[in-house]
Amino acid sequence: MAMKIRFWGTRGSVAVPGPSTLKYGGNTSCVEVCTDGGTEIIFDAGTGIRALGLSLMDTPFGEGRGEGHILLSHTHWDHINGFPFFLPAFIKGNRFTIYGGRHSDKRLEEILAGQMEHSYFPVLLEDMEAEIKYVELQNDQSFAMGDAEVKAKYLNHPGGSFGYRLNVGGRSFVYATDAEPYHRPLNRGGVNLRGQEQDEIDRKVSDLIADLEGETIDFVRGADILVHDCQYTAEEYESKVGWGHSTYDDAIRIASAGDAKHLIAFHHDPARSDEDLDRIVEEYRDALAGRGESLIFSAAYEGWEIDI
Amino acid sequence: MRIKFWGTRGSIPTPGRHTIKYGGNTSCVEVRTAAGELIIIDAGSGIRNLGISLMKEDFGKGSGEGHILFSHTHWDHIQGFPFFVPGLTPGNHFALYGENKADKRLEDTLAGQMEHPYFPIRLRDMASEMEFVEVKNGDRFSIGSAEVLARSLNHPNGVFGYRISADGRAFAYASDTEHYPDRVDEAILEIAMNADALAYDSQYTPEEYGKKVGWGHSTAQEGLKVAEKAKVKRLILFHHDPTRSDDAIDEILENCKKDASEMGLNIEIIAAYDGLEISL
Repeated sequence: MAMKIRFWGTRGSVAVPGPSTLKYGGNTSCVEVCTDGGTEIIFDAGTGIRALGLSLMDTPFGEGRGEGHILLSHTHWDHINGFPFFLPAFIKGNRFTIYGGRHSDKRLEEILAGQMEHSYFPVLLEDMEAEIKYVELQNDQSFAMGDAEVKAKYLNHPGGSFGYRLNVGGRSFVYATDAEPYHRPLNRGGVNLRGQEQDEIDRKVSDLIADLEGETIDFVRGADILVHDCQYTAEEYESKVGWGHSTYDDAIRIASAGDAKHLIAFHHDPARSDEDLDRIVEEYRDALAGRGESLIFSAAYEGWEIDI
Repeated sequence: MRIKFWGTRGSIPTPGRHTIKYGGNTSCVEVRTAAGELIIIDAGSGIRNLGISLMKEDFGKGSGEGHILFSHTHWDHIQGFPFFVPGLTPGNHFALYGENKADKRLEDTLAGQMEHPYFPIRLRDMASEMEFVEVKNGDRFSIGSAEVLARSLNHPNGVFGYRISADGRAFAYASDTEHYPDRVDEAILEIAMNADALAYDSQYTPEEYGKKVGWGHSTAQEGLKVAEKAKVKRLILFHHDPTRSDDAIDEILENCKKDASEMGLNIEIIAAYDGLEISL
């Protein structure tokens, strides 16, 4: 075993409490990875990070002796709004490094401080007593966190989003949420081009799309676990083009092309019930089996622990 | 009038098995008068489900009209608004009431939660028509057949409690308020006096409160003091702490009922849950 993965929040957009989300969970994005070497890594700080924080209080984090790394895909609410409720960050002595992208006119730290201004929250970011460092990432940046090698890759989402690949002791884990495929040529119709010109543009667009998708496929190549945005069904996607999310079919296409071993559907739409997800998992498993594909397909649920 | 609770939790939504009975959505209460006016108090995550339900009415056709009273703009009271589908539907009309701060109007604060890099859709892209109405401490105003009174209560960065009177009945909403050690808050008494129901901030147990002085929240027991002095008919425990399981809320309710009977206070006490409906 190289690392233990645990899902604390699997939902997209907004937290959805209630009886219809008990199985897969209603908290927004947060995934924990603990490596063999004891490196504590947290992907995103949606509402799920609150319960993760409570659980960490039984570890050295409870005594102010913890060290953790928080990798933010991006700073839309459903990926940061649990942070003000993350108890270990209030304990003096704990140390956290928060990684993510900066915004054109705002540093990463300013973005996180913005959600804790007095009009929105009673406690300021600067009043959190743990030592917090911020690392602003570039596309394709690689770095090490303890025994984990990390690579960050820019994904296709409004305002941008980072996917992360972790390599630890010969095992690999990819977290790629809030990502829409680059597969929509938008220049069709309405423009009166001569056939030859249209063909030329189509060729260039499809080459570009193939290059961009190829980069994503390389990024997930051979992953033991690929956690991927699966917010929409194909039918839903038709009215959500450009919203920055994938369908189940998109994620399966990327996973299969990259020979990922296990695809875990993530960032469930708030409207998706447990029954819906059960049905979707069964349908896609049957379809994969029917095509003789070895890819394992699952849907992330809160509380799930996987060792790889 | 009819009251329906869509979100009863404080601080942050708490999905999961331990909150199935009382619910995990943050603050949102719907008030309907007999004449049909829709008044919503607060836009925590509970307003998402209220919105879905409203889409079955005129709001689905873009001909709905509603009024939203904001107690204040801490996250748990506004975070559902971007997911309020009637607000995204052209033709609907909403009046939004709340306090303008010296440096930020209510509109700016609501727009702030929908700016890049926090949210992909801007407030101005919500296609319904929105009108912002500034509320000041002590203001009395009409919403159709309803009379509203707003009073400033005790909470960091300020909060309004509201009294809504209609059809000869009164509903008082006092969430996110901390009691004073030596007296019952006059402002709460004013909104709660002879109310048919009072929704009261019951975030903490008396034991917990000792460690949370100044955080702007109260206890069920302090709610009893208000209810007694204001001669309230029903006390509704509201704004449950996110750490509170269903069992823990059951226990708080039982203790509160015991304390009421020891005080000789004969009123109905309810712990609010997502989906609770009361006719006054």
